[in-house]
Amino acid sequence: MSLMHTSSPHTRAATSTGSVMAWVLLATLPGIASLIWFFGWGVLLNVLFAAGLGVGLEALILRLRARPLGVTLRDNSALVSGVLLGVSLPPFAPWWLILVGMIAAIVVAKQLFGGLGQNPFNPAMVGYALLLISFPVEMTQWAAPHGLFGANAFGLSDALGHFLGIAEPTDAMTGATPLDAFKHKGATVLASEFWATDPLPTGTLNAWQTTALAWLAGGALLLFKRIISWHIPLSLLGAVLVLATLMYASDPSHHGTPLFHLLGGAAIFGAFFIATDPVSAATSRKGKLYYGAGIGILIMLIRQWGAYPDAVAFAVLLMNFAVPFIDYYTQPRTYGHARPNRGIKVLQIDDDEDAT
Amino acid sequence: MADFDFPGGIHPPQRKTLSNRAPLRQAPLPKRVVLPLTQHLGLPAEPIVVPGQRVRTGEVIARAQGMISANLHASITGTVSAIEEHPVPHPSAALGEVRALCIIIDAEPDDQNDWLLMPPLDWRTSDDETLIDRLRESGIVGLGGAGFPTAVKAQVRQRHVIDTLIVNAAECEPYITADDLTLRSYAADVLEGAQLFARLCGAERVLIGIEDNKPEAIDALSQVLRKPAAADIAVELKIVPTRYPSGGEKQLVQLLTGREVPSGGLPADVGVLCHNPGTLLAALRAVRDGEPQIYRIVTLTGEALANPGNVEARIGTSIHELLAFSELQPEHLSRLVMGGPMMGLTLGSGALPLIKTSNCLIAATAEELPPAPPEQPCIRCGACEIACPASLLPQQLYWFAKGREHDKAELFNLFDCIECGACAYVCPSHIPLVQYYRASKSEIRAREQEAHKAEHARHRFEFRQARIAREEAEKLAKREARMKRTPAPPTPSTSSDTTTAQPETASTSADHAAQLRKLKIAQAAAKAAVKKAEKNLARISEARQSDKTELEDMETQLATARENLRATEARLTMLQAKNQEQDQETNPS
Repeated sequence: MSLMHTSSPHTRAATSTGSVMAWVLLATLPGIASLIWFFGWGVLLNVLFAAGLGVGLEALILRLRARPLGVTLRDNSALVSGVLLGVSLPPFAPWWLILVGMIAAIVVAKQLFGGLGQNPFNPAMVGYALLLISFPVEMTQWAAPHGLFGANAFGLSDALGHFLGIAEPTDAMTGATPLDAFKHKGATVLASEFWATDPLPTGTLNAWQTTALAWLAGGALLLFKRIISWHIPLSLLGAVLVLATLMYASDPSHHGTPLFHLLGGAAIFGAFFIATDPVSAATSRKGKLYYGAGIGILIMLIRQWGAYPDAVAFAVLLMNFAVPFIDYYTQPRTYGHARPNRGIKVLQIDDDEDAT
Repeated sequence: MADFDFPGGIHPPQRKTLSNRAPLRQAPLPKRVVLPLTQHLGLPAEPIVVPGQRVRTGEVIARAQGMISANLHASITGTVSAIEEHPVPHPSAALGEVRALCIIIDAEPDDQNDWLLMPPLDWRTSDDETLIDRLRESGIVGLGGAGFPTAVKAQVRQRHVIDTLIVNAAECEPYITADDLTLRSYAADVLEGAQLFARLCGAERVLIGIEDNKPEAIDALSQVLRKPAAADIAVELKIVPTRYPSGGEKQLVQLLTGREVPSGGLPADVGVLCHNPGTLLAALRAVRDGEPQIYRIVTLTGEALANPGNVEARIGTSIHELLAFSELQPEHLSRLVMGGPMMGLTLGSGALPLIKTSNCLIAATAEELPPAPPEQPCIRCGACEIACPASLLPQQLYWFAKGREHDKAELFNLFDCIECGACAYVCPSHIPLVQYYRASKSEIRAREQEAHKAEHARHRFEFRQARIAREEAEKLAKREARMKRTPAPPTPSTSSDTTTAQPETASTSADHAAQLRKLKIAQAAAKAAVKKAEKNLARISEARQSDKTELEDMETQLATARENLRATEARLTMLQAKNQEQDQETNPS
């Protein structure tokens, strides 16, 4: 009789990375549905193409790296990266834009660093940041909220035209994002005057706010299923809220309301779906609080003084840099120790020991 | 309910009903027992029987060696057939069968109940010395799993002040119900055993930590507690919520008292002593009935058994026989675990003996404990951190262990990991985290031993050098003295020393003064070094865990310092003598 030898524990919970990622995908559905509902079929094309590219590029690189395909593809992580980049792109994004973004995300940011778990930076945000810097025109041209079936709505064929690059979106179709419009209102224009001029296509603000709430619903699902912990979203949104309130309180005529900052851009989406990417985030619970707050502060700083109207991607990437530092300084107090460890000590190797 | 809490923890399926429905049974007496000489922490016991010798049940067959060790007794009456290497249950059996020296006894066919008992004692009237002697004589070790000799633990008072005795009846691992059945069947005896230990260690209170999934054991305990004896020490029943690993010693101490055992320390460092109910029962029986530890209660469970339950079985019984008693269906058996599914070890076959620390045997089917799915990359999700009861960062430790950055792993408190397996249980990437930690720990230990060896060699070398230097200095001094005593006419052939000394004497006496001062400083330094070495040695030998090699090292260092001092003193006296001589020479002229 010879039986199996294994190291303890001999039993494990029925979880897997694949199912974790599947829950994340499921949680993106309300947000995606809302985006499609307000901004048309282009969003759907973006998401599907980006997700497909994610899987395809991952498979290609795995093949080149001579790694097993099945196990890795089943972890669904490339799919998640694709979906997250897809929803971030403007609804008129042409195919090559998505391709460039996904190559940056999957090939450069993820696989070149060693694949899942090894990437120091959030892949989707690397792709997004690269596109935003390289193709500012395409990336800042957002759609007007004409809806799926409204009078001015463009159909699937229009969307396909934009996607394939054979049709350019007309002025009637495009519109600025609320954050973008508000940022460029001009220093002499007061906030109240600005809003009185009705600067955005009808329903834009409503569309953005509804979408933000849809992301919030997805985020709530992730929290409920314990796929993510509350630390990062809470500290991120808390930091945004506090800073926005302070700014608004100091000068309401030139700053957006706290609610505008929370719901007007990608703050909620970023808080629940981008910043919570476990691979590139801080690991300890305390570290997650610092990490989230750092992103929230950076978002507000860039929105206020930076060149970009919204800043989730840059804020997340900047804080990704800080993660090893945060991790070293936020270790929990281990059982039986008086105080937690701080920082990392390099043990001095004494080469001169024999000489003395 | 518990007044305090510990962080983390998990809720694996309990699977206790498999084995806790049937009452406690007696396993049939084995025809042959295999008794390993090491069933405890510490040095192996020394056999005192020879093959062919007849032994009676309860007779000592191997004696404890050194301070931490335990006696071994014949668990059946019969003839010692061999003292030889035999496969034994061992954590490293995964790397290949582990064999250890065992005493094998074949039962006599007719009379098997010929016991050799010690005289019964009344623990309430016996003094501590007698009781500790009895525990030592009975070979009792901690039955919870570690197997620490109980007699050693009973002397805790020599070094620590204990205020609380904890009876660890949490039994948090899935499947295991041995403590549950022990309490249901012998609640009064266990509590009396607790009183005995509370007296021995000087505790002011006894806390019984038990998970709320054992209502019958709790009932049995409360029934006994309702009629306490007058002289008894206060006992409190603390029912804690079922959560793994609440029965981990450190976790239970935290849960019941709010105290934390310091890193690298013992519960005794915070005034707490923990005992398993089975140990208390065995101790009481050893004292009250004079029975040494020759049997224990063990859970036989798993879906490959048709008739699971708890049995009282003789130590050394073949596991195969026990499983057969529980009607093992060999065709369904895929994994055999000794201990629980979280921390137990797998056995390669049933041809191994039951030892003092085996609390449970799980004969699992392939569906029940399926093989681990393939390991996937860590996504740093932090599920392990939330589950960790020691507040470690398991994923960081994993990266360090995998990258063999052992110094960083140590900085992140790798050695505070209790290997409970909660992190590996929750890991969505199916990473065998505990295995990584064990590998890292053993590499660090091996490296430390290596470093220690080198250090040891260095100290020996330094001692040798110092001795040679001292001998030379003394020789030189002697020769000088001899020459002084026999003032032979200075012929050129007498000594090269004198010829070289000629220009020296010619040189200024300031040179000599400088040399003298230098030597005096060296002498003071050498004296200080000797003092320091003496102090170090005293400190080390006082320390609780005095390592033998460390002691030896310190002794060598002290000897080296003494040699150095002697050498300097010899040189000093020589120089002083020379100076005097010169003074005498120069003054008359």
